[in-house]
Amino acid sequence: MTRRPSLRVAVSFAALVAISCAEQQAPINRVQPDALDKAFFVGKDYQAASDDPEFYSQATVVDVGYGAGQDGLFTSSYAQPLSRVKWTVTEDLLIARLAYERIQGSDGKGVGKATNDGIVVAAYAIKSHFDIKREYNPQTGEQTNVIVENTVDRPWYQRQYIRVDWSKNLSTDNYEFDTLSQLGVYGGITYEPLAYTVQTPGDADAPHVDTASGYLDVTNKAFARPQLVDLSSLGGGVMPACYFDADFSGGGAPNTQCSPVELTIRQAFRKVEDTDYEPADWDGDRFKAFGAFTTDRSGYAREYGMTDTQWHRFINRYNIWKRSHFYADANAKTGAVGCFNPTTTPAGANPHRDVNKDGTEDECAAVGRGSRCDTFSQKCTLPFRDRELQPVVWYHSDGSNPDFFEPTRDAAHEWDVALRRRARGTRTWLCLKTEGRTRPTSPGTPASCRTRRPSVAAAGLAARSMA
Amino acid sequence: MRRSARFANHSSKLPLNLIGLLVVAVTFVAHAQPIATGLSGSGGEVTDGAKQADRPAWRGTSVNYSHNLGVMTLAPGAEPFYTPTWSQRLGLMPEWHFGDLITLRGRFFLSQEFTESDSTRYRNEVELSDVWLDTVWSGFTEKNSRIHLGADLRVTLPTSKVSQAQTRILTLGPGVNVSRRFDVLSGLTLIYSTRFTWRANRYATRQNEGPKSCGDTRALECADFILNSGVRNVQFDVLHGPVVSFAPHPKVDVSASFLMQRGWLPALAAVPAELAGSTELAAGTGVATRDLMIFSLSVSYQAFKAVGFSFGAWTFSNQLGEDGRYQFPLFNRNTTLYLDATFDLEGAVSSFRKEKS
Repeated sequence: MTRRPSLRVAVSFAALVAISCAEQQAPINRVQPDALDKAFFVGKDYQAASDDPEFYSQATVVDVGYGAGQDGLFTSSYAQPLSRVKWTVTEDLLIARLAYERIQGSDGKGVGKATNDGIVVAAYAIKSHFDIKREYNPQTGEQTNVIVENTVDRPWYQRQYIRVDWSKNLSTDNYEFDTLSQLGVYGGITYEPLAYTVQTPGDADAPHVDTASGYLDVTNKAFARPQLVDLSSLGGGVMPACYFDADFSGGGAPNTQCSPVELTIRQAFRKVEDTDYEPADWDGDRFKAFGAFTTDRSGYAREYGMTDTQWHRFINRYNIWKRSHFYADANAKTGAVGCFNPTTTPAGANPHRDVNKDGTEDECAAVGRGSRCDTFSQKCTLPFRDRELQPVVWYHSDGSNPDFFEPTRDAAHEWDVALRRRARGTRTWLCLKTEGRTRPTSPGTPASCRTRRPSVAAAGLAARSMA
Repeated sequence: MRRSARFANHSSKLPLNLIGLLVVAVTFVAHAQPIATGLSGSGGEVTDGAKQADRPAWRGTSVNYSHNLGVMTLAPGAEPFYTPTWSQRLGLMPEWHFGDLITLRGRFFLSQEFTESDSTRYRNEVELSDVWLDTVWSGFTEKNSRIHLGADLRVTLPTSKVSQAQTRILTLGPGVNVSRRFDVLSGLTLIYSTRFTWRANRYATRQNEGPKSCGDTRALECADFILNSGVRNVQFDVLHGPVVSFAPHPKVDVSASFLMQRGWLPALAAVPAELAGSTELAAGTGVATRDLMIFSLSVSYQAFKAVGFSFGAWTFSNQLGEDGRYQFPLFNRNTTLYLDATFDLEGAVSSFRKEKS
């Protein structure tokens, strides 16, 4: 068989084409870990405060080494304040400011979406402002496949990314909002200069950044100085507690260690999302009925100063409702019916008045069906019969003692049943009240007050294992 | 050539490599022009078929030896940092003629820098160039206009460090040239040459970033490598430009060329998913080409039948200089002076036989 020349040419050409296709290599990425987009903290407009998101900020002492002589380290829940903050990016500092007035009605600092001048609750050093871009030939503009951190092409306030030194809150005497400061006050604890952030990838305490859901946490290591005892009354000086047995004037030997105590503190930030929560002022009468932890908010009145009428103790509770307020467009949460404002509430009038006794507060008559005025949100509530439950999930995470899972799940189930019954009962009773009935007499219960039993999957408390 | 450590990354072996590029350009010119000096032996205009047939098939085979000097070597105070460059170079240039129309031609160079080199691992290291293999068609001359058309196909093999750094497999470069000879004294030839080169690379990017692997290769890709700190390899390029060759005397030839090259770059690699949010990464500059200009001027003298000499200068520029200004394309800090001696094998054998007889 004779090969035709055209075939050889074709084969040769095909071989040539095959070898001539240059394979694309992955670019060289010289961007170091922990680069954070400024937009995550201050929105797309780095200078304007109007698009700054709010964050919940809380530090949690997640671990204390054995041998700490300071009891306060083990009961540190009092020193884990939750605050709502907005961030300010300066050339050297990332500053967290309260997103509300510490005393409502006092100085206006931190009030309003377009402001960011609240009290400073934390400040962290910014190690670098940079852009992430391709390296390029400065003489021709030709870009390369090397991706670098560029710190020169734009001024710091225009660069997109920052790297933050989270290891220390530089607002060190922030006794109301900073965990270490509070531990120092209540526990009498002093600290070593040594402190660092756990950044090793793969470490359980490595930073968690989930920009999509607006979450960031970093875990710091701080070191408390060994506990000391004052023996000056005995003619001695201040000595480490570990030098003396427990039966000797505050000594702690042998369990109290002579080395600095390692504290592991997780600083977490989550973007504030509008969950349509309805706050409740847990006043004295309610507290007597059902004791609960509260978060106090104080108010200031011109000419009067601090007043009791503006002192609110908000109950700390789970939000079991998907929505708590009425909206014309429920999905977009727009079209709320306003109340307790100068238009709806005449001077001196009770925003909760129900003159016609129909079970719906008068300012919320447009919603009807038992709607009430949420005076804190200044919106009419969604009638209970129209509300949907949402699950409250407690996670049993990796590393937790598995022995605790079963009893926790059982306890959660019991609470789940109780809460679902109460939620269903509340909806029914309030519905009947609105319908002018006093008791549900089956089959006399109006159809409009019959509620579906919430499905197990969709409502109530549940304990889930993340393992 | 060694600059201060502070500027080591910005320095390059410009003069040395310019020298290399000059030889490339001269070779380019020699290929394009008709035989004017009798030295080149390149496939050019066939003027006397009978005479060519009497010559051996390896006619034109030669060995070239040169010394190259960066022009800034002679002007220590011209720049803030004195970077002298002086090197020698040996070129092996075999040819084999298949009749009068087709010639197979090879080029391979060994170079060595006497001054401190930026690109070698040790002092006075000998560096290799790529191997060039040209298949030359001597072309034809249109009788009325006396315009000559020639063509060739160049294949290069990556024996140089710079080509290996670019993961080169080979290059394929078809070229054509159009020339016209005028009977002025011993001959004036105007040429316009064009070459398209496809560079078959294994990867779209070179294996290192800097210019450090580009020593004296006296090859075109070396100039590209030196002056561009980007890491993408040129995928293909077009080199073109005019050449003038004037022979005022049968033994003297003056040549000048001005060549322009535009190289097209492959696309940038995709951005890693974790960096997709970077607005600066999304905004590209749009620069997808790389340009280069080459200028050469030389005077050749055929002293003997077997030995000829060339003295010349050549330079290249393709971007702003380090002072932020455009470099003058005909003379700048990249200019290299060179002195070549070319030993023609056919001429040497002929002289030897004549002497013996």
